[in-house]
Amino acid sequence: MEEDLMLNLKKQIIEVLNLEEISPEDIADDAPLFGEGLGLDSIDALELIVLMERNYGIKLSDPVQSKAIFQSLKTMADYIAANRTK
Amino acid sequence: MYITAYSRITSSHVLLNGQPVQIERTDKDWLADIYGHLGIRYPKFFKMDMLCKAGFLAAEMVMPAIADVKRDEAGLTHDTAVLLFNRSASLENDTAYAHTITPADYFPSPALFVYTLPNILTGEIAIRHRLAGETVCYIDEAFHADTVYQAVADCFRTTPVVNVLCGWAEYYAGHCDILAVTVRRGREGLMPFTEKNLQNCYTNI
Repeated sequence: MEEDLMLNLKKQIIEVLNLEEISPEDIADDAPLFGEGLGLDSIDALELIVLMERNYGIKLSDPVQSKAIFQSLKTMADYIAANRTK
Repeated sequence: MYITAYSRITSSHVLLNGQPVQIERTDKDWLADIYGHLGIRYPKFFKMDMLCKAGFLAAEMVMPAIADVKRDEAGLTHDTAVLLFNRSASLENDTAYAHTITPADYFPSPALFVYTLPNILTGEIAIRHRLAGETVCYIDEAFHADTVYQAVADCFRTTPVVNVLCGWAEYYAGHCDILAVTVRRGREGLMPFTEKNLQNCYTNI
């Protein structure tokens, strides 16, 4: 189940962030999403917040909490699994 | 003032200095195929709106003409300005953004929002090529060589820039119409920078 969520999440991130030259296999579960790793920027972070709300019904408003959630694909998936409303 | 290079990208043609560039078509979109042909490695390209993608690619083709420009320790050059014109501003992307803020489906897209200004195009080009000179995007009803000529001449007269990247960057409703021209102060280049030559760069496809 969690593997399905991880794979779906990778596909959604690639689509919503237009990561054309990256496939789901290129995204390591524990690699940082920002800085090294995927090298996402602040606009990408905002887009991930929209993704969380649109696809999983999770509304994030605390920047400190968001930083922890978006550390890696795995931390994001764990948070979604525990808090999703759809 | 001399034209040192010019490129044209339309919905069906690509030209560099008047010569057709053959683009191998794939299952990707037209601009992505041009990106692939040019051998560019710039992942941010795929995050851009269509106007920025098209203008970015046209600029990419002519920028070797200013490769010898002076740069500071940080790699920036103050010697090149970017003066582009278009008709539809960022309307293509504005429309896409508007679809994300309908009352029935209200999820405003930050990635689309950042491209809801046409001068983001000149900014993207400046970031890519480390240009710290003047950057402007003017709106006009159509391409007018005399207006572009006047803006470039004014820029050379009132600022110390050595090169100006100028032209027309229009993208709306799938219609792509881009002209990028590098103009250099002095008497070296492909042809003198005149209204007539500029018009020919736009018209001759």
